[in-house]
Amino acid sequence: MTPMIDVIFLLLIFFVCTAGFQAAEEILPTNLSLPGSVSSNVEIDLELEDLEEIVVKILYADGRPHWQINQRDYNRLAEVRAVLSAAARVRIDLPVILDVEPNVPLENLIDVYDLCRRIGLERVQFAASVEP
Amino acid sequence: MNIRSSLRCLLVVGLVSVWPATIVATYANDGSTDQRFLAGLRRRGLFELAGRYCRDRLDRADLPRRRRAELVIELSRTLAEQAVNSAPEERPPLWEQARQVTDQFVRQYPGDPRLLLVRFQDALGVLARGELARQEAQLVADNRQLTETARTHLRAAIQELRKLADDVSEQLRERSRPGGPKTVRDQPDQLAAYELASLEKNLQYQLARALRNQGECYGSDSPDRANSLNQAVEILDPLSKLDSIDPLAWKSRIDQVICYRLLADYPTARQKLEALLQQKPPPAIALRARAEKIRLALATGQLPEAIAILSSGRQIDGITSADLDYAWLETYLAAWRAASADDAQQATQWQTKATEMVRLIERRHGLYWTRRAEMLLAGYVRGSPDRGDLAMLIRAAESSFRSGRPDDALAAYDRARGLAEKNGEADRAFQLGYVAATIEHHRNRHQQALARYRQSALAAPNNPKAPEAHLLAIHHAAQLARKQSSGHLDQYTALLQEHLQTWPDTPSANKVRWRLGRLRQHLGDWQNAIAAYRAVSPNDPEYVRAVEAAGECYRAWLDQRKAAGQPTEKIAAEAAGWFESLVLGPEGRLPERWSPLARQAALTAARLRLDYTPSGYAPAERLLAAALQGATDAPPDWTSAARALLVFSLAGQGRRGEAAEVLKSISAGPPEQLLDMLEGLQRVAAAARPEVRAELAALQLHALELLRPHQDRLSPAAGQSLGRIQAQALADAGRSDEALRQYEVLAKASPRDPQIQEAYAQLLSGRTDRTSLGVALARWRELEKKSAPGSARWFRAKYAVASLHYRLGDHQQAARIITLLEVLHPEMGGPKMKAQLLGLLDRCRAAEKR
Repeated sequence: MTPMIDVIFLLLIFFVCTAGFQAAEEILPTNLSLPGSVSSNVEIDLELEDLEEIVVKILYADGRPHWQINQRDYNRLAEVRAVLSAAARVRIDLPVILDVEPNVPLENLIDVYDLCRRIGLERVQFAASVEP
Repeated sequence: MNIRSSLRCLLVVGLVSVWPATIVATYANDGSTDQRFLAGLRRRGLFELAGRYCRDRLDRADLPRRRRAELVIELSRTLAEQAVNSAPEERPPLWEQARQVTDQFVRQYPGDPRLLLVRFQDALGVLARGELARQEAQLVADNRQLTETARTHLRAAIQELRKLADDVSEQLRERSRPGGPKTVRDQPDQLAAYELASLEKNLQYQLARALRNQGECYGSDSPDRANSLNQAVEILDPLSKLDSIDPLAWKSRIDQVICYRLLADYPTARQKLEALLQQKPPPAIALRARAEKIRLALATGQLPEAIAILSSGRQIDGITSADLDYAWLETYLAAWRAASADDAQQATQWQTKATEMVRLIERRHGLYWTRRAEMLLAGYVRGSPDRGDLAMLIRAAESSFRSGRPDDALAAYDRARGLAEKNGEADRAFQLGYVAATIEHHRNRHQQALARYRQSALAAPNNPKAPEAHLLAIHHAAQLARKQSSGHLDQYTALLQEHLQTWPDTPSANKVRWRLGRLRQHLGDWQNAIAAYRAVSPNDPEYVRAVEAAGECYRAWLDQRKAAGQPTEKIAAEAAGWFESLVLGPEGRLPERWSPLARQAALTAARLRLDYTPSGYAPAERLLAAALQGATDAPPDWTSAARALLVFSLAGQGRRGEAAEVLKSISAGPPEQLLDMLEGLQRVAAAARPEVRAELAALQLHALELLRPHQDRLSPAAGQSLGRIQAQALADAGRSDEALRQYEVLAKASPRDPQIQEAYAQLLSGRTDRTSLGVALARWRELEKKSAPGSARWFRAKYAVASLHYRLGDHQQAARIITLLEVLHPEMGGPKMKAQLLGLLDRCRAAEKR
C-alpha cells in the first residue's frame, strides 16, 4: 500500500510541476463601427466632426497587400505610415477606421493596426457590414 | 474466355491513355452506337459536343442505372481528353469536372455494381493528369513545380488503382467461395466473374503505366526511379506473357521494353524488342516498336543507327503513328545537335527537317502531339549552343507561349529578334519585338511592356507600325503614372516628348498631343497644356474636343491670374483671336454653314472677351449676333448660351434697353425657351464682374416679370428652376434680404437639392453678422456630409467650413481642416481649389502668429 501511495504522490507532484496555465486572451482595445449605428447620449465634438475621418482600406491582390486611405491608393506600408503620421500631427485623437477585405491575411491587418498605435492614433475602429 | 473477357471489359471501361487515338480506335470497334458516336466526336476534337451529348442524357431522370454509369464514364473520359488537348491554363477546370462527374456518381449510387468501373475511370483521369505533367516537366527549363505536380497526381492514381485492384480481387474471391454468387442471372447489372478478371488485368496494366510514369519523375540515378520501374516490370511480366490475341499482351510487351530502357538495362530492352518484332505484331504495335527501337539507339548514343531506322519509313500498311513521328523528330533534333558542333550546313539541314516534322505532326496528329512536339523543339532550341534558324526560334517561341510559359517565349522571341537583326531583317526584328512586347502587354506588366514597345519602335523608327508601338509604350507609362509615384509621371512626360520629336507628323502624334494637353492641364501647367491642344491637327477626330479643352485651360489660367491680381487682357485677347480665327477660317470670312467647331469657338471667343477684357463687349456682340443668325440648326443649349452671352454683351455696353428687347423677343416664344435663356444668363452672371452681374440681375428680374403671366404653363421642375433663378438674381442685384427669404423657402421645399442648398449656404456666408455665419457653417457642414467625398461640391463645402471658422476667429481649426485635407487629398480638388485652400491656410497661419 505504501509504495502505491508514494507512486501516486510522485505522479501528483509531476503533474503539478508540468501543468501549464491557460494564458489570458488578449483583447484588441477597439470598437466595431457599424454603418448607420447611433448612440443617443454621446456628445458630438463639432471640431472633430469638421475634420475628415481617416478610412484605411486594406486590400489583398497578386499575393500582396495594397492600401487605400480615403480612396487614395498606396502600394507601400511606408507611404501609409507617412500619411497617418502627418494626419496625427493635425490632431492625435482623429478616428481611424480600418476597412479590411475578407481575403486579407491577418498579419497585414495587424501591421496597420500596430502602425496606428505606434503613431499614437488610439481611436482605431473596424468597419463592419450589418448582416441582413 | 480470356479474349472475350478482355474485349467485354474494354467495351465498358473508357481508358484515358497517353495515346488516345489508339484507345479510341479499339473502343470504337466494340462499343455500342452511342459509344462509337462519342469516340468519333472525340477523335475529331469535338469535345464540347460529346460532353453536351452525355450531359443531355444524364439529365433524364428515367435513365437506367447501367446506362447512367456508362455515360458518366464517357463524360469523364471526354473531359479528361479535352484537358489533354487544351492549353495549360484551360486544363484545371476540365480535370476538376472530370473528377466531379465520377465523384457525384460514387456518392449518389454507392452500392451500384458498376461502381468499380466508374472509380477506375476516375483513377485513369488522375493518372492522365500526372502523366501529362510528367511529360511537360521533361521539356521545360524550370521543371520543379511541374515535376512535383506530376508526382502528386501519380501517387494519388497509384493509391487508387491499388485499392481498386484489392476490391476487385476481393470480389473475385467472394465469387469463387463455395456458396458465393456465381451467376448474374438475378442481378443483370452485376459484373460477371470473367469481366472482373478482365478488369483486374486492365487495372494491373494501368498500375504499371502509373509506376513507369512515377519512375520517370525521378533522376536517372535515383533509387526511387529504379524502385518504381522495377515494380512496373514485375507487374507487366505476366501480362506480356498473355496470348497475343489479348489486347493487353502487345501493349504490355512494348511497355516492358520501355521500362528496361528507362532502367538503362539496354541489352534486355533490345532482346525483348527483337523477340516482340519476331512475333509479327499488328501494324500499330509494330510502329510503336519501331519508335522504341529509335529511342533505344538514341539512348545508347548510336545516332547513325537511329538515322538508319528512319529509312524503314513512317507507316506500315498505310497506318501511321504519332509516337513514331515523334521519335523521328527526336532523331532529327539529336542529329542537329550533333552536327552543330562541326558542320553548320548539315546542322541547318537537320533543323529544317525537324521544323518540317513538327508541321507534319501538327497536320496529322492533333493538338496534343503538336504541343509535345513544339515543346520538345523549344527545349532543344533553348539548350542549343548555336542560335538556330529563325523559323525554328519563332516556332519555339510560339510553342512556349501556347504552353503557358511566357518567360520561355519571351527569351525565344528575344533570340529570334537578335538573329533577325543580325541577318539585316529590320522589319522582321521589329515584328518579333512587337509580339514579345504584346505578351507583356497581356500580362499587364507595364514596365516590361513599356520597355519592349519603346525599344522596338526606336530600333525601327521608319517601320509603319513603329509610332503605334511607341504609343502603346506611352499607354503603359500612363498606367504606371496613374498607380504610382511621380518618377513614373516624369517617364510618361519624357515618352510623350520623345514621340513628338520622333514622329511629329503621324496621326499618332495628335493622340500624343491630346495626352500631353491632358497631363499639363491636370498639373495646372496651363500654357503648355494650351500649346499641346492647339498643336492638334484640325484633321484629327479629337480636334473639337481639343479646342474645347484649350478653352477650359485659357479660362482656368486667366482665373488664376485674375485671382493673383495679374493682367489678363492681353492673353484673353490673343486667345479670343485664335478662337475667332477658327470661326473665320484662313480666308477671314464668316462660315456659310456653322460647324460644331465654329459654334464652339464662337462661344469661347465671346466668353473670353466678355470675362477678361474691358473692351470686349462690342466684338463679342458682333460675333454672337452673326453666329445666332447663321447657326439656325444649332442645338437649343448652344442657342440659349449664345443668347445669354448676347444679352450680357449688350448689358455690359450699358445698352440695357436693347438687352431687354432681346429678352422680350425671346419671351414672345415658348416660356421654356425664356427659362433656358435665363439659366444661361445665370451661368454667365456667375463669372461676371460685380457691376455687370448687378446689371444682368436687373435684366433677369425684368425677364421674370415677363414670364410671370405664363408661369402656370411651366412644369413643377421648371417652376422650381424659376424660383432659384429669381433668388440668385435678387442676391446679385444686392437685395439680399429678399434673396435670403426666397432661398429659405426653396431650401425647405427642396432639402435634397444640393444646388439650392449650396446657393443658400453661399448667400448666408456673404452676411457679416455672427448668427448668420453660424447658420451658414451648419448649412455647409450638412452639405459636406451629403456630398461624395472628393467631389467638387465636397471640396467647396470643406473650403467654406474652413473659411467660416477663419472668419469666426477660430484660425487654428481652419488651419487643421486644410492641413488634414492636404495630407489625405494632395491634389486638393484641382489647381484652382488648391490655390484657394492654400491661400486661406497662409492667412490662418499669419493670423495665428499675430
